[in-house]
Amino acid sequence: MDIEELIERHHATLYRYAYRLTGRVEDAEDLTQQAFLLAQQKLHQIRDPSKSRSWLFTVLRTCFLKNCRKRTEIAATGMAMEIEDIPEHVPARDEIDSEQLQRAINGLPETFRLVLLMYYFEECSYKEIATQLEIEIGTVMSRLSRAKARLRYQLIPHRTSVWGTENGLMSLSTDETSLR
Amino acid sequence: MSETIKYQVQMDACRPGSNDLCQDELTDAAGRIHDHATVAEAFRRSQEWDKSVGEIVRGGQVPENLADSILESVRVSGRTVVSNDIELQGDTRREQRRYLLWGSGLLSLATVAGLMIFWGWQSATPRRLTRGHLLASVERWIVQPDSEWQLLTEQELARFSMDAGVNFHPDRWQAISLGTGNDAIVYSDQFAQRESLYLFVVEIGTAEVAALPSNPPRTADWNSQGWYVGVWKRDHLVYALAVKGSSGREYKQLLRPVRIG
Repeated sequence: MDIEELIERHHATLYRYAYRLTGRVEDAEDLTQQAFLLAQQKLHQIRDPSKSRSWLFTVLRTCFLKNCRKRTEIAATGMAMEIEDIPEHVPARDEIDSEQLQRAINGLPETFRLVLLMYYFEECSYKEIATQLEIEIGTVMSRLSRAKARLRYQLIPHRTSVWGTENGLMSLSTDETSLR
Repeated sequence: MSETIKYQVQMDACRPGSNDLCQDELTDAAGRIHDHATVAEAFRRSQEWDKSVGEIVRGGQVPENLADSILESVRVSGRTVVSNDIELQGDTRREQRRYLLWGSGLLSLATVAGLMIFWGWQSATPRRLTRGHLLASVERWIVQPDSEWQLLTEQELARFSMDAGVNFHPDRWQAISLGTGNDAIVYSDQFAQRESLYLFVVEIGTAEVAALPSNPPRTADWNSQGWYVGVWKRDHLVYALAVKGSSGREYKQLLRPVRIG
């Protein structure tokens, strides 16, 4: 398998992944190109051509992490929607604004974004993510859950509730979508 | 971690349409879903949501000519490697060698013809200059620098002006080819820095340039040979400052503070 064949076959997928990771067309183009240049140097590592796609994903992630400089943690509380808070009407695919989704992904710290996209884009299991990133399974689950909760909060219309008095919960009817 | 958070985290780890829930680590969530209809319903909704998000994330438009642009930079880097091992069987080895010889000859002719067409097309078409491409070209030059230096004249400095953001006073230069069709030169300081500092200046011309910072980046890219390279663009020029060092400190020492306002 040569590099030109890899580019021909996988450039579109790799670019889409790069775009989700970086959130900008120009950065995604650069990252994709960087990944293929690195792939060209490491081509001998491909033993099984059928796994070249996932190998390229690894190369892309390596380039992405190398470019990342800021390592900020995601806030543990607030701005999150847990699974049981998902309203009865879940927005269907055509009801989800793709740009808003990308903005929400961009708002995540790189380490969370990477885990989230390995789950959504590469469709990796939590065990595969842990193995690939060489981190604990518990860390993967925690990052994934917090990133997903943040995404749901930003994309699914919901009503927020606020603790108001000592007597208990005071609910405020704040429809997030009407605030925009 | 509370019980509620624990099983929610576990449910979030399941991929839609998978049997992840059968995994040992997710038994709490599996039990909760089995025992509580409301939890099962919430889990179903979350999986539905994940499926939709996954489909959107994996889709999206791809820029036209992206493959061509990547192919171009890969060709320019000139390190195409073919990793297919060719296993030759004993009886047919000689025959196959003959075919390979003929094939190689024909392939060489075709490559020469292809390259001539390619370079002809290249010179007529404005190209896209990217950071990755520039870094690869700079790295290639650093590995095998050319010793044909010329003394600095004011004319050259006027066309490929120095950037005020870099505290560097070169005394020699040479024109180089980055394989992009852009005019480019590299500056060096023969005495003070010897062979550990170069400033590449590329005239953009008609080429498109990917988004680059307008000032020298504080943090540079580095390679395994210990070179730290920062790329930026100002007006009609793209700069790449390459400094050899152990930690990037040498690179940062050459940057002047950016004035704000």
